[in-house]
Amino acid sequence: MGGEGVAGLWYLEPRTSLGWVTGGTRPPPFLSSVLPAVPAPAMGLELYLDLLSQPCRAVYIFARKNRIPFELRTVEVLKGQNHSDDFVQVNPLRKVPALKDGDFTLAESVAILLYLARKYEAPDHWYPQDLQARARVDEYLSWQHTALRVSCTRAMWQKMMLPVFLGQRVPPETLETTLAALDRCLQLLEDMFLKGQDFLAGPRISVADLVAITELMHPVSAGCDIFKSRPKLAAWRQRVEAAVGEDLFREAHAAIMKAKDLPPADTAVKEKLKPLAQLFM
Amino acid sequence: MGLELYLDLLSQPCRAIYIFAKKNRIPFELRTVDLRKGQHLSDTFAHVNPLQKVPVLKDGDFILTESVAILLYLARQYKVPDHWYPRDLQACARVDEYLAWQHTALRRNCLRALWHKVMLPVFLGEPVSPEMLATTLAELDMALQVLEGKFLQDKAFLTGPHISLADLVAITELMHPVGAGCQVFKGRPNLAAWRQRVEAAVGEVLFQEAHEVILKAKDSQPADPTLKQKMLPKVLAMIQREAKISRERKEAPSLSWGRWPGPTL
Repeated sequence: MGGEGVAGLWYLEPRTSLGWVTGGTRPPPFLSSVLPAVPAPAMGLELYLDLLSQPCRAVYIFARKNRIPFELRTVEVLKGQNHSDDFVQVNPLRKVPALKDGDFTLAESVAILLYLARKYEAPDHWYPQDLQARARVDEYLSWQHTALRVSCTRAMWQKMMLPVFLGQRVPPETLETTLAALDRCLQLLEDMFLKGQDFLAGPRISVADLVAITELMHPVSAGCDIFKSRPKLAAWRQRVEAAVGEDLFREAHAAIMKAKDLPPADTAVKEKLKPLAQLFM
Repeated sequence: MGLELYLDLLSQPCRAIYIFAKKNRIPFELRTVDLRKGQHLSDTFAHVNPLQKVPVLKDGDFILTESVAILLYLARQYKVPDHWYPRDLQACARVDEYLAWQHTALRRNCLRALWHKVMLPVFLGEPVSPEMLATTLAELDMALQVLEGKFLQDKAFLTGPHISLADLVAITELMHPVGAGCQVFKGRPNLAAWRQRVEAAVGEVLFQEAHEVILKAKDSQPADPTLKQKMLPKVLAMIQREAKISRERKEAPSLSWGRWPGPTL
């Protein structure tokens, strides 16, 4: 799953929206007359997420950890729900995560995390007031877009989603190149950001760690043992999981960890996802 | 030693930082790192930034990379006027949203347009096929549609009635294909009007000064063979990855950008 950035799904969108089944949106007009009256969706905070997506997991963990009250609106990207008319109203970029707070809509996980941190006055360590500490978090959040995000997404798709879900062969050389690039990114993560610290931006967990760990769980879910020869990174992972809370961490990653058990997509879905598949090669 | 900014005005993010620092009268020492001379690959610069990239900020012992992080640091450290990065929650979120989106969207397309149209052939002596260039320019066009349709809409500036960091980052990005000879504002009166407003808000003199280098990009001297050998693989690695993406977007004509909801949203 790519979430935003590299990986919006682009294909002929299905005309029917499934959003109303899983989320809190209105059913299509033709069913309204036969269904019982459905209460209007809550006007509070709504988070549109697909936990198969890395940035969605970061937002989910942050909101839950900080006990931010929200309505979860599940948007299943593999089913094309991000192309529904309802969802496009929330995020015309057709990507998850997306936020809706009354009339205010917001895309981009980094923007969403910062908005939540500020609005709900999350503890300082998540996005520290200290100028230099904050700059370190900003630096990570900026770097990751075109670095770790890209290699983690590719690794997961090439190792797992493409062959298993889409039945598409990935040449071994391609996968090898991808895993080498991932390895280089992990080295940078250790050398440039983690260094000798407990967390990426200093002594305490911040949104940078959340964004990074959810990213790394992508190749992990595909069976890449990225922590095996990296004891420093493995120790950091333990600290992050402990800081987040094991239960919440496990819950946020339940879907992605079961992705390898997804039944192969049917022919129709495979066709629709072909352009996306090529994107990850 | 006070604030040092390691910049090459050939680079989009460097221009945004340069303009921002100058406009806000932030005192700094300009450390020029000439990319076309390979100065970013030197051992001296590696001590400043082992990633061998610009821009870099050095404030005493504190070294910071990533232009978005640098802009935010400067805005806070020097307490610039609120409109650059508003305190208002939603206004600030809009700026964050643009700054996040641009990394893998407009920034990437503008960079590729410059390299495919000018820098690869002129500076590195590497031909670029007309098909590749056409794909790149088509992708740039799609990103411009999003810039207008989702971000600008009918506002004076990208995130509201006043200029912000988002506008600085965007305009400096757009000057990349302009420097390559692409008419990005032609047929886009809304965007052209926004450009005028941004230039006026920044100040014409400062804007021109910051863009002198990029506007002469097509006059770049060819790189010497040693430098070309060092730079070409890195450049190609960047281009290739994105070329794959663009190829596939071209082959899937029913892309979401083509069905942009439009300004009524």
